[in-house]
Amino acid sequence: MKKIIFALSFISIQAYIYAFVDNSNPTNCKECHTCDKPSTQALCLHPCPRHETTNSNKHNLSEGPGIVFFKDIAEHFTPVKFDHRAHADMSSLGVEKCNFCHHFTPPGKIQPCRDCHTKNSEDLKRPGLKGAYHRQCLGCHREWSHDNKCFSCHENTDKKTPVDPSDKSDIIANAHPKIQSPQTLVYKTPYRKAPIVTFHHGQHIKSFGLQCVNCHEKFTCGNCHDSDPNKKKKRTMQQVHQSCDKCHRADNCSKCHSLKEMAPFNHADKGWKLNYPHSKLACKECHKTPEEKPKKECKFCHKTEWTRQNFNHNSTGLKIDAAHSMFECSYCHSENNTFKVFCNKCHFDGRDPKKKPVGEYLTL
Amino acid sequence: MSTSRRDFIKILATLPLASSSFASDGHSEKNGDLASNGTSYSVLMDSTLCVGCRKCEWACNDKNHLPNKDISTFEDTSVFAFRRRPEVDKFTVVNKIQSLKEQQTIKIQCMHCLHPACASACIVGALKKQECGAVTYDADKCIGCRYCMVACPFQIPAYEYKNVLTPKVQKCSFCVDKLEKGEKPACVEMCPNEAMTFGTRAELIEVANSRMHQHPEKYFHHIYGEYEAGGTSWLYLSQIDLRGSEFPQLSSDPIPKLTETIQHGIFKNFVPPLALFTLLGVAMHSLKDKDRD
Amino acid sequence: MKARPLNIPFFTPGVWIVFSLALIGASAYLYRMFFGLAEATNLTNSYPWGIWIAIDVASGVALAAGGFTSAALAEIFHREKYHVILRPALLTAMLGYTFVVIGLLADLGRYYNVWHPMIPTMWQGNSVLFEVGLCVMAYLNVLYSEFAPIVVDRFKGKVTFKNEYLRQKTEGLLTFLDKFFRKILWVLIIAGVVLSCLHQSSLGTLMLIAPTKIHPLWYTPISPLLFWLSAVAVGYPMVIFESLLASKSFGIKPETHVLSSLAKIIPFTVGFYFAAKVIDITIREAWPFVGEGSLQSYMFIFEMALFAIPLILLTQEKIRQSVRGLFISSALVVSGVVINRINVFLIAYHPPYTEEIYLPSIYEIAVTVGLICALVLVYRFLTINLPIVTIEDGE
Repeated sequence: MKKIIFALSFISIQAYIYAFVDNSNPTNCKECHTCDKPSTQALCLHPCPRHETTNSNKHNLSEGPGIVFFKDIAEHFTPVKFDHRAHADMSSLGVEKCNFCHHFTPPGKIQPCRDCHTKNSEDLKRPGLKGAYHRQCLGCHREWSHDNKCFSCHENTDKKTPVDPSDKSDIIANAHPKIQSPQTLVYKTPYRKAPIVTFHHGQHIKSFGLQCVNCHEKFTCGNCHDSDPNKKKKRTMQQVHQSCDKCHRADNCSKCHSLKEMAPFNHADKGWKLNYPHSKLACKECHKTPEEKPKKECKFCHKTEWTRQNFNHNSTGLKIDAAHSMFECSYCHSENNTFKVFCNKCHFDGRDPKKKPVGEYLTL
Repeated sequence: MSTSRRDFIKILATLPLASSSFASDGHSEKNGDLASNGTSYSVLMDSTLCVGCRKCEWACNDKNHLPNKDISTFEDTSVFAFRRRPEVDKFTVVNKIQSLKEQQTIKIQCMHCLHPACASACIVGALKKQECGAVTYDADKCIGCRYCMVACPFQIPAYEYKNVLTPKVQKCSFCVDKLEKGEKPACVEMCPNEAMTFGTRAELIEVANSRMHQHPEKYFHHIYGEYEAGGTSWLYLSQIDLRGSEFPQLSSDPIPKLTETIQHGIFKNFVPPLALFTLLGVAMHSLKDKDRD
Repeated sequence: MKARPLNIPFFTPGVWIVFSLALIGASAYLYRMFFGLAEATNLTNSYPWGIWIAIDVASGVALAAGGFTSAALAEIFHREKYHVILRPALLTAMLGYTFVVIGLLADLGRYYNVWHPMIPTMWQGNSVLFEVGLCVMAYLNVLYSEFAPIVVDRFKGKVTFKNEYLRQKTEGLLTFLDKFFRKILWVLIIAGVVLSCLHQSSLGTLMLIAPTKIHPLWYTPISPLLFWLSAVAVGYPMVIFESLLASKSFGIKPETHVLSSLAKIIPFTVGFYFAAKVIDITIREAWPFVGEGSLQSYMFIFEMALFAIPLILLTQEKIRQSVRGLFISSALVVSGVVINRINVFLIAYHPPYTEEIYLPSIYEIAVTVGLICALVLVYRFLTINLPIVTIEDGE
């Protein structure tokens, strides 16, 4: 009996001590929500101008200041001379323009940073002036140079030798040079059956009326100015095809891949050698969708009721003499097919204006 | 016999007074209040904004009169090759996040836990959680047992082993003197990119949450320090899960919870030791009488 | 049958070896005091505690458990035949704790502040170390008070001052002290047992403050219970171990019949500890860690074996009767407890952010060995000069 009591008390002491350990692990709402009772209407999110407002203003480069001297917060370092004009020029290359830096721009004059970002910000969600400046600059500069050097912008820490804000000699204020766009790029791909991909870069820009940013999305300064040679990004198969896939259907490999370099697209191959002014048009001027095949018929596109008086036949490349210009259009052209021309109403020797060299006069 | 009975009662009466200190668990409750009240300060460290300039290290050395070098020497990034730890002569270090390929950095210093294990461990109360949020150290009280270093889950306190006569435990003090003057800690003031935000804990948790909601692609959805070890005054946002990578994986229980529960359980109103004393006394006397029979 | 001083020389060849080791230890101790912890130890920020805590303090306290366990047996439960082991056990405990404090002073960075925990303004009730510190300090006083009658016993009626007045006064003081200590002895004995139970168990709570750093084989909420059980378990083996060693060294016949019947209790105390440990590992489902093949798992198996073997051995009547059997099995339990303390404080401790491991420096080893040797020397000196050991009549 004694032994049993002893054993029981022994076990109960152990159980007593185990009871101290609390293993409960309640799910916590606050892991996701900031307020106590979030609802679908109120997710406890505070609006920030950075993501709420977009700029509808269009400003010219010349409207902005030339050199800005950041001296409000100089404490351990000398003030920074900032060439606003040069930076504005750079950001004008992108889609965002002024908004690239000035993320909150209500209509009217663009606000300087310190209007919202005060030196000692009370609002914890809004960076102070120092943070705003540095985040703005380092966004590109760090991506660009991969270092943490303060002296790229701050000249030195010695406050005894003040920086002369009027001295602009040490600032390289060149506008961004014009970006050279390649005409044709030939890629050798690992696709064995047809390794060569010819990309007619120039033709894409011209025929499809593209801007750089239409394809080169989310490009920042660092995309070109990257000091790290090792950082050549390896793109995945999907990423490589992504920009082409947007327009070209991905299932047809031979559209782009071939065994040898491909010639650029020629409209004549499709049965209509384009002459001026049709040769100057972007594809979509006639083909509203890639699938659309417009009839080879003037009226299909040109809604103007052309008559002898308002049509300058010379613009087609075939000049007509005074005698022929007396005829109504329908005298020579078929009503339903403009390109069907009848010469045999007058001439019975089988002549055809198509056989006439372009630029020459059509004479009787 | 009667005299020894009186003695016995006398001793019974004096014992609880002598050691009432660990018989009550008032201390830990006080710490619990600190965690929830609004006057306790915190810092939110957003490692995605840290540019690795290490100027906070310079500012910390400068403020705490630690051996310092010229500010320009802190641009040396070769230190990122190693995972450095706070030392007796540097209370904060900026480390590269090891699990990330690109150079993304994070600042390490004392986390200033809401329920600091070091303060619970300290035999003389040299380490204390202050109302303002700082966990401070009083070298004059310290006996140098280094139990705080055993206790700290973040491995922060460093010891002046080289100091023969007056070695100190060294760690970030949250710039408690500046905090009490209403100023920000030196590192927070220095940070050019404002990777650190200073405020009350409740505010900062809200800030952190709104950042994570606005940029879900930029952050790993977790505030390190919100619940870890019962909560810390320094909170971290990062693009990776810091649990088990740069910081230890900790439960939401305060680190000293188990030891304090056992300690105060054993000394609950001083009943268990007194009961044992009485039991043994009774046993001693009654068995003696039986022996004589 | 009465304890009396021994009539043997202090120095023998063996004592000289122990003495020189103690001297080396003393020099290492001074080296630490003059050149600091950085020079003398391999302690780092990652490993703030070394063998001075694990062996000198934690194991030292555990091995001094013979004092309170035998006091409980002989004085509280009135097993009168065990009175012969009381004084040696008390001496071991007293010296054990004294050397624990001396060892601790070497480890403390600011040893001159060691009195701070006694000051009420610096009391820190949440600290396990504070509880251990106060209990050890109080228990040390209890031990000295318990030991005082032995000193009084030695000199009462034998004061040989030439000056008659001084002699009378001294005798009067000794008589008063003798009476005083006899009167409060029972309080001291019970207080000693209570204080021992408290801090022996609290030593087990110490490392529970580092849940992330302690290996799961040893991180258990019942660690204080295990520490207390192991302290109880090691009490009698330590008495036997030390008694057999001493009798060999002093050239006297060991108290085999007392020790044998004392050994009967050991399977129960060790068995309880062993069972608690097994139950604990089972409840926490920690068995897989035993087989993980790490240093920790091997050390755990080693530690458990050191308890399991004597547990089996001491159930055998034959082994309990033989001096060699008693010595080996009690030595195994003693080393089991020492290994357990080393495991909990050193082997199980795995700090984050570091690959380095802690190995003690030669100074640390020298101090630890030196302290043990010094303890042995003081023990020998006091047994020779004070009535500690009871020698059977006719010897």
